[in-house]
Amino acid sequence: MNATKFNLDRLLMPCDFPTKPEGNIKNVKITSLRLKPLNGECDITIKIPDSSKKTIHDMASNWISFGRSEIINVLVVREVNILMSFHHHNQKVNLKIKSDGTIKKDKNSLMDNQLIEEYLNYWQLIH
Amino acid sequence: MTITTGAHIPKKSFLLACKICEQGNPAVYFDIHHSLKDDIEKLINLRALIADNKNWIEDENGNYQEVINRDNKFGYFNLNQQWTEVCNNSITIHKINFNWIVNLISSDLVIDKYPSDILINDIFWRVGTLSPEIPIFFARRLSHQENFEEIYKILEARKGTKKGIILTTSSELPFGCSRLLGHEVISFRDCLVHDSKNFKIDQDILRALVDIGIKKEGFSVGYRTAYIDGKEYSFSKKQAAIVEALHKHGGKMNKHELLAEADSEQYDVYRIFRSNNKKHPALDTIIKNDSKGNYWLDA
Repeated sequence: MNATKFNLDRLLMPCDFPTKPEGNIKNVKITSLRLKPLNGECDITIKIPDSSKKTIHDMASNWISFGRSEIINVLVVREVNILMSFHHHNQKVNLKIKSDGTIKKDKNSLMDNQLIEEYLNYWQLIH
Repeated sequence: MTITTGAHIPKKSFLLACKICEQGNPAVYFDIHHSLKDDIEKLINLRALIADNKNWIEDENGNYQEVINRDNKFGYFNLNQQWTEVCNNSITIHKINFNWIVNLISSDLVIDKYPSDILINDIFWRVGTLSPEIPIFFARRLSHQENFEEIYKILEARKGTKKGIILTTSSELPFGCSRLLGHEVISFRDCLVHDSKNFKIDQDILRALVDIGIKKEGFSVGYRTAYIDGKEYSFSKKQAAIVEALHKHGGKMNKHELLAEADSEQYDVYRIFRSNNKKHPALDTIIKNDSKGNYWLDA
């Protein structure tokens, strides 16, 4: 699945992932953020365990101050992993979304592409 | 280098240049983000960004590969030791041209034509003097402690410098650092003309910072100070009495009347406006005379 443009930079700040009841989604959280400065000279990847009760921003806040404009101004989000947990059978779907427009999901995921795209749109991650 | 005036520089592009400037390595990779391409291209066309080559590239798997020049072609050996050629664009990085920013400030503020000074290499510049006598500086990465300290030392050593303004690409200043040894610090973000899509420094904001320029034209209550045509004049008690008389009269007054107002034993008004053989700046500028003993206020 490809999308022409992603708006991942809003994920530099803590944000909510609202869900619709019919989606049967229990929880959505970011488990990995790969950031790059404007000069492209390095990657900064922040990862948290799937089971973490805190958000990635909370966990990383001890080392990176996301609220400081100087951090946000010079970093772009290149890739994000979003973990979606469902009420049904404790199913989970891991989405790896890149800023170049590619999305990968788990091979055995039953979540269809259209639903994924709907949610990404709902979360304003697609232009 | 031809300087493009601020009128042709979109504010958005300039603010991107500020962000790029704030990095340790003040450069931008063209493909860094699709939403930035237009602004980056604009800055390249303005010569605000200068092309440079980098010796690494990110492959399709997100791994960094060292770029090699083989027979005048650039590329890398992938994990399978296969040669993968890359285009020039993908190894080109664009660095900020600091002179462009300094010259842009100078041309936008129409400040004096003396060359700017580099006070700390790649960090701190003396751009020029904004009328009437406001030194203008430019600093980057001001929020970094080591830069802040170095700039502090430079300013401390420049004794006698009038209170000036430090323009900075930093969007956040260290707490309590809006002023540095009397010089006001302001981010470009906070001093650009609000209702303009193009780059333009709001000079009213700058002058308000140093308390100049937004003063109302006119005289202080006791006529000890006057602010006329952007210049400030100070008067002694006797001088103020003469200025007050002239102002209230509104026309020409004879020197004897004025001397009586000042309760002075001098034989001519101009003597009251001379001290140590120096003429008071108000004499012959706002206080005129006809060489026949008549004086009036030209303000």
